[in-house]
Amino acid sequence: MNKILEVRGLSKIYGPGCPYCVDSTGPEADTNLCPHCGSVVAIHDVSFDLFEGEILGVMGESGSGKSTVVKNLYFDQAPSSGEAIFFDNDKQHDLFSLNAARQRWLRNHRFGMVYQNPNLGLNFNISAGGNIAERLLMSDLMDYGAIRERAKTLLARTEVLLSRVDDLPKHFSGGMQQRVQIAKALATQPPLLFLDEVTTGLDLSVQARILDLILEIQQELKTAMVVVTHDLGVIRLLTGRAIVMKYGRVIETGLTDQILEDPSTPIPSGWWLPPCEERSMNPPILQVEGYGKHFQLHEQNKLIPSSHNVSFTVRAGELTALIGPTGAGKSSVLKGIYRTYLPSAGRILYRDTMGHELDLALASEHQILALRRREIGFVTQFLHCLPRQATLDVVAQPLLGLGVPREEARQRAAGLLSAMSLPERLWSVSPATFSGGERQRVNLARGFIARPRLLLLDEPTASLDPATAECVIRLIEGLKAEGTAMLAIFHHPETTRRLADEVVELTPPPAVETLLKEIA
Amino acid sequence: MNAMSHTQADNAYNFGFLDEYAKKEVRRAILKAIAIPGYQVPYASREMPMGRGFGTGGLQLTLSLIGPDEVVKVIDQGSDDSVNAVNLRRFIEMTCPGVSTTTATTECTLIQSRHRIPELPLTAQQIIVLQVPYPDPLVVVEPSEDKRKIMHGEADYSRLLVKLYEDIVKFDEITISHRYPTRINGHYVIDPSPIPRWDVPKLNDSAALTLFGAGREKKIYAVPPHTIAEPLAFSDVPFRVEDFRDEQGRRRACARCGCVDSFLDEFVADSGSKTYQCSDSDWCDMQLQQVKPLQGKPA
Repeated sequence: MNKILEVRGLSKIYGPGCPYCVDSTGPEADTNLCPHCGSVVAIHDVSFDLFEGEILGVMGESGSGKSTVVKNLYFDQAPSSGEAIFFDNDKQHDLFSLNAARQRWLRNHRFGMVYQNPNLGLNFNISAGGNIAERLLMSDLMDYGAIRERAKTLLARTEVLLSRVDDLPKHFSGGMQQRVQIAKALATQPPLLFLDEVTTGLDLSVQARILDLILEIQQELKTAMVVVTHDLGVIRLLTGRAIVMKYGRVIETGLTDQILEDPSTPIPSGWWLPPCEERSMNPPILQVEGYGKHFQLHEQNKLIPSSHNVSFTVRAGELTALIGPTGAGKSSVLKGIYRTYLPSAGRILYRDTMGHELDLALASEHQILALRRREIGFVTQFLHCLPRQATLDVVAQPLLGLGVPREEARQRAAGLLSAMSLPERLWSVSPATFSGGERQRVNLARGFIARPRLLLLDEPTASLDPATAECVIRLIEGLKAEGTAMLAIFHHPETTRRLADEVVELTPPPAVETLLKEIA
Repeated sequence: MNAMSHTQADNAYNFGFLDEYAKKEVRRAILKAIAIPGYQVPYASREMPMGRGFGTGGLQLTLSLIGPDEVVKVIDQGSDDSVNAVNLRRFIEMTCPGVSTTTATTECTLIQSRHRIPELPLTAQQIIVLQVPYPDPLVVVEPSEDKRKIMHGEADYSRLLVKLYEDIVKFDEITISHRYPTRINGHYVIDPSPIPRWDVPKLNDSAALTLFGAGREKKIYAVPPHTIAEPLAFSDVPFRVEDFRDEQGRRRACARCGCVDSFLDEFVADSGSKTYQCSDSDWCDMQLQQVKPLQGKPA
C-alpha cells in the first residue's frame, strides 16, 4: 500500500503565543487556552499517515481541533509549525513549503473538501450543475455536453433529483445541499478528500445513504479520505483507523474498533433510552391543520411543493417531534410557523398567554414580530449573527429586545453559557471564530434565554458531540418541565424517542401535477 | 526619451496636450501591455478636460502616441459625426497643431474608437485605440481586485466559464452581446471594451495594433499585431457573431447602401416598423460610392 499523506508535528496556535503555551495546555491541563498569553492552542503536534484508498477518522469533542487539522491541510489556514507531505503518483509535495499558487493548484485539482456548512463549499448564486461545472472547467474540460453529462451523473450518484440540477442550492434542503457539495468535491476525482462533519445535520436515513455512497466511492475510485466527525457511529462505519483528539492533542490513535471497544482513555459516549412518560391533558398551544407550502420559482415559472397537508398539535410542557426523510418539508413546517415562509395552505392556530387564538398564517406582520419577541423562539440549523459581536451580547440580544437591562441580560446569558459548558474565556469573542459545535451551543443559548412559550428547534443537537448534546438535551428537558411547548426536528431517532411526547411523521409532498389536479 | 519641455511660444501646452513625463509614463505602460498581451497594466490616469467615462483612457493613449504627421479618425459607435466623436476630434485638432483628421478608415494612421472596430480590415500601418469602461472581465464573478489578479495570473477563468454555462442552461445560448470575454495569446482573458460580438473575430490575427485604455479604472492593455484572440466558448457550443437574418431567414441589408455583410444598427420608427443601417458610417459611404458609379452607367 502506498502512502498518500504524511503529517508530522502539525501545530496551530491562534494568538500571540508564548514559551509556556504548549506546556500549560492540553488534556492534562484541561484547557486549550494558554493562561499566560491567552492564545488558543488549537492543535499541537498532530501526526498521522494516510494510505491510498484508506479512510482515516478524526474524532473528538467540539473544540478539540478536528476541523483545524483539515483546514490546515486544505490550505484554508496556515499552520504555526509542522510539515505534511503529499505523495502524488511519483511526485512528492511538501505541502506547507509550496508557494501559494502551487497550493491553490493542489486544492483545485488534487484535493476535495466537503465542509460542515454547505455555505462554504457551494456558491449559492449559481445552480447545482454550475457548481459542479466550476470544478470541471478548472481542469480544462471545455465541452458543454460532457460537463452537463458528468454533473448529472454525479448528482444522480449523490441522489439529488435530476430535475433540480438547474436550481440554485439555496432553494435546496440542508441534506440536499450537503449531497451537492459531495458531488462537487468528487467532480474531478481527486485522490484525496477531506470530509468535515458531512453527515451532521442530515436525518438518519439520508445519513446512511451518504455513508454508503462515501464507502462506494472509496472502493471504486480508491480515494483516500480524512473524515472529521464527532459521531461515533459514522467513525465506526466508515473508518478502519482513527485518531482521537482532545484540546488539540492526539490522545489516542489506532484501529477504530479498538479505540471504541477498548479505549486507553475515556471517550464520552452515551445515548440511552428513558421510559416513555404518560401524557397529561392540557389544551394545545399550537394547532396546525392541513399546512402546505410550495415555492414559486419566478425565473423558471416552476412550482416546487415542500410540505403538503401537515396536521398536528403542540401542548405546553410537551415536545412534538417531526420526523421524515430529507425533503419531506420538516424545516419548512418550522419556518412556516415562524412565518419565515408564508404558508400556502392550512391553518396554524396559536393560543397566546391571554388565551386568545390567532391564525399565524393570517396574522399581521406586527403581531408576528411581537410574538417572535415575547412568545415564539426559533433555533435554526446554523447560527446567524452579527460578525464581531461578543458571544455574551449575541446570547443576551433576545432579552434586550424584551426590555431587560443590559447588565442583567448579560448576567443571565453568562449563567446559561456556563450551564452549556462554554468556556468563560470565549464569552468576549465573536462566535464567528468558534468551532461548529461551540457555535451551535451559542445558537441554542440564544433561543433558550428568553424562555419562550413555544420553541421551534431545527436539528439543535446535530453538530454537537455526545457530551454537549447530552447537556443540551438536559436543558430541553428542563424547559419542558417549566412548561415550554416545543416543536423539534432531531436527526437522531434516539433523541427523538427520549424527548418527544408526540411524533409526527411527514412524507415528501406529491408531485406538482397531482397537487394541481387536487386544486382543480 | 527627452523629457524636456517642447512648449511653443503660441501654445501653452506641449504637443499632444500631455506633458513629456506623462507621455513617457503612458508609453512605458503601452510597451509593457504589448509585451504581455492581454495583461492589464496599471498607469496613472490623468485628469483630462472632460469627465471620466467620456473616453479619457482612450484619449490619453491617443495623445501620448500622436505626432505632428498623424492622420486621426475618431469613431463613436461606428459613427464619425456623433457628439462624442466630434468633440474628441475637435479637442485633438485644437491641442495638436499640424495633425490632420479624417473620417476615412483608409487614410487614417491612428483611430480612437468607442464600441466599434471599423468593418474595413486595418493595416499594419494603423493603430486602433479603444475606450474601455470596465477593463476586468472577472469583475462580474469576483469583487476583490487582489483575488482577480491572482485568478488572471493563474489563468483561472473557471468561474467566468460557469457564467457562460449558466447562460446556456437558462437560454440555450450565450447571451453576452457586448464585452465578450476573449482569451489573448492563450493566457489572459480580456474584456474587449463594449465592442459587439461581431467585432471580436477582428481582434484575432489583426495586422494593426489594438490598444485598450480605461481612464476611470486606470488600466492599459493591448492585443499586439498577429496575436491569437479567441473568444471563450465550449467546444460543442462555439462562439457565434450576431445573426442579422429576418423571419424568412434572409440576411437583412443596410437600408442606405444595401450592404449585406456589415454590422447593422436597428432603427425603430414611431409606427413600430424597423429599418436597418450600417453601424460603420464610413463603410456605408464607401459602399454607396461603389454602388453609385454602377447605377450611373448606361444600360
